[in-house]
Amino acid sequence: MSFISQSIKNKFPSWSKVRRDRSSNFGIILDCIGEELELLRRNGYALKLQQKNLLSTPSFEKEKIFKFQFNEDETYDSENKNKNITNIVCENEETSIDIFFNWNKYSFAYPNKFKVKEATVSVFEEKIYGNQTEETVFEKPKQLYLNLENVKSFNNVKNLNETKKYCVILRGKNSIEKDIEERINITDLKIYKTINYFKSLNSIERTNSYLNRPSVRGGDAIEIFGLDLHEDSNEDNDSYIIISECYFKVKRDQIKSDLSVSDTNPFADSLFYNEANARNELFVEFSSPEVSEGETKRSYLDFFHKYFRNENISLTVDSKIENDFFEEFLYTCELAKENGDPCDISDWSVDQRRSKIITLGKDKVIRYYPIETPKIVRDDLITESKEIEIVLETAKSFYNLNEEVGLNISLERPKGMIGKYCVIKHISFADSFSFLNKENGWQDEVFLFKGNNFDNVFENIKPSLYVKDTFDDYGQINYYVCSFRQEISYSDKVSFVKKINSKILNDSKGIFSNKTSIVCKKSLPDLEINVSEFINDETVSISLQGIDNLLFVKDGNRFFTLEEVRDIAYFSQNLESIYLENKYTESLKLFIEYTEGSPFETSLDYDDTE
Amino acid sequence: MTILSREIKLDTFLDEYAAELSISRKISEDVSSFNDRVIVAHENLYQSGPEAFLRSLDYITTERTKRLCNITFTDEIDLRDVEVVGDKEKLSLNIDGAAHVLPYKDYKFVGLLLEKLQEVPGILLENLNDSEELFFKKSCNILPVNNRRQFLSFESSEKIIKLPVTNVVRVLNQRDMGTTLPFNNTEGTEILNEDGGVLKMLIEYKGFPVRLDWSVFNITACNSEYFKSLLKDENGFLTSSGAKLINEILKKQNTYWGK
Repeated sequence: MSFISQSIKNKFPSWSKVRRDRSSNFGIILDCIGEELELLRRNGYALKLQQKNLLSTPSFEKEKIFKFQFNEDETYDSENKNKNITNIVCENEETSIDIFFNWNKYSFAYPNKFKVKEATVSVFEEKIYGNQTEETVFEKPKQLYLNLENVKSFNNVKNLNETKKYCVILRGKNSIEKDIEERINITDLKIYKTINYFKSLNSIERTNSYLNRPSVRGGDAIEIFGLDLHEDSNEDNDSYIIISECYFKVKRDQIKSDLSVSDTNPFADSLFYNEANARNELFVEFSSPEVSEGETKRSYLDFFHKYFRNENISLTVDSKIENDFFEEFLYTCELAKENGDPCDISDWSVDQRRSKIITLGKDKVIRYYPIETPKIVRDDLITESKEIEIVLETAKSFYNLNEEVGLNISLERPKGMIGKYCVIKHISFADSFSFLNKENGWQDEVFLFKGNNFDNVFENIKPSLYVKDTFDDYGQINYYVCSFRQEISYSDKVSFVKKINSKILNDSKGIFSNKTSIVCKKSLPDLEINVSEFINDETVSISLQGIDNLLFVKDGNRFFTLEEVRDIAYFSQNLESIYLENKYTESLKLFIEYTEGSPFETSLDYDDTE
Repeated sequence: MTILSREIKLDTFLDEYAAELSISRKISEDVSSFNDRVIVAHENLYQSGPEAFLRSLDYITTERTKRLCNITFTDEIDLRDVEVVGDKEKLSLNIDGAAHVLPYKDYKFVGLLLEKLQEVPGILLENLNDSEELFFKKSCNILPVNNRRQFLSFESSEKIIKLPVTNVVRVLNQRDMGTTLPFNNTEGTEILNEDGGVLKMLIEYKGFPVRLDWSVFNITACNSEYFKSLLKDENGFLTSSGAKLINEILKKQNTYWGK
């Protein structure tokens, strides 16, 4: 499911099934279209990010490459260019190279392993409760992060200076020792990053444009406007900003490349109609609830939509509204190991280069998870009839494990008398189905409810049914409702389903079916890399940053950066060459097999002469 | 048969931006350190001042400038009376009339120079680089320094004007033919603006701390005495080494028609 498709669906009236039910047929078609558009949008966004290298967003392409031209080998036949390749292997005794035929896939390929790049003694991190005047000098010029997750609220507008409403101003020196001043406008309680590189933070005097261009207004090293910061005897009530070189253990983050679109805007008719948006950037929150001894600890990612881009409207001291009022949970997915077992995660970060979530488990394994909404697959235990009589509805399409599902079954478009009707629950991952009975339980045998034949056709299944169900395993559940005027003869539940299907396919009159599907998702990693050789502690913090996508690791008192190592190559048959990303000390053997003719075998060596 | 590799530098958006700043990445240079260079170049781009050229030595090649130390003095010494000047041949400190000259030919290595510098009475040295490699680097490659500073065109119309810099030696009125303005240096640096009009001032002051930097480039100004002594002998005749030097310059910049 893509959020762009939701944006298309929102063009339909709010009562329409396509807008409300993600499992509807038209909804699934729009999802397919939306996914393609989303891919296009993400690529466009990646290109836009490329241009921001100065802001240290990751570079999407490698800076250098080693080219091997096949023509240089006399045994290479130029006719090979037009032949189909059946097999291609590039390896030496230590390494096997993954070969890509698509530049995009090559650029975004996952690492095979990590290596330590740099070890540092300490990381600058400080809690701030108000303006700061003390000088802080950094070893190297750094971009700084302001984490506002622990700020409880904004100050009221009426008490604030009109020009400096909600902002943090940082002052100091840059790498060429010039005074700099950066103002960060605060709209949201999230993590902000400075654009400038600070060599030091210190109070500065006002200067004119001769010494500084643009000129500096001057003031305290850190000046804060419009935020309600205070220290409390109870640490939980503290309201503060964390300023740091590198942020760890964040609760929530913004997926900048992804869009979230909600199906309704609850504030459309309220006072906030100017500020509330049904379309925003996607936010993700990590949670790992405490469990009692003996129970397995699980980790979850909650994806949610924020209606307000400017939280300073809704989070002021005087009229503070709780988060859940202006946020909507879209779905939750449990983060699992490759084998499906639950995973206890110490820290997580967003991989901006690949638009993935990277996690470090307590088992010292790094995992890459895709950012994707749960997919509802079309499943036809019972074929849907062209006309609908009884409607099945659930409050939402995505559920958590053990969450209660409320199923509404009501007569919405009556066609006449209803002889009998039944409700079927089909668990697609177990491929089993059962029937709803009078006690609102599910039974293996066929159970048929009795309909009516009143003059008022709307009362033919009155009262409507409301059934409570729970999700006890991950996967998709389909609910079907079938109504028929005449009796259907059957021997068991399988023959019953077959008979209904054949009647609907034959366009028999007086038989109607409808369905809805819901999903409970477990996210499996795309890749697992064991990093136990670098890590001592069980609880370690990570953060993915920088132009070369370095993984910053805080392991107890140690702090170091891990660099991605990718044993990959890009193969171009048209250019008759192979391009390798890394330099290997031992020469590599390349073997290409074609559908016809003899295979091409050669050895690849690195030219060390400058 | 064996195929030999060719190393190719791929053009990223960073390279495109750097090209606008007239710097390019070496094939062997990684993108992260190149990014650091581009940032410094970007920050220097919009800055003016006499040291802009010296700053540019930090990023025009992969050889970055190394920071050595910050020089300040103890509270007993009035910083207005201290002059720190470093040129091609020596580092000289003039502390309230007492001169301390450290010729680079006597203190050939950076380490030795810094050790000697610590012996100057009242000096405070803040080491900015712990690298042992720097000890044996040549002192003559220390970039020229001068702590005499000018703050141009400072404007204010307040009654009591607080000057934006400390250690002020002289304040000149830029609008009144450069007449000297009296200033009070006891409690902060202030000027009494009796007329209440807009004053435009040139402030001469001593900039502290003084930072010593070391660069791989041995630079000298073409109009300096040192350069003249390189070219000609005591009798004013062009020496063979001087001729070589001029030829090297002409190779790079052959349109020079100066004397």
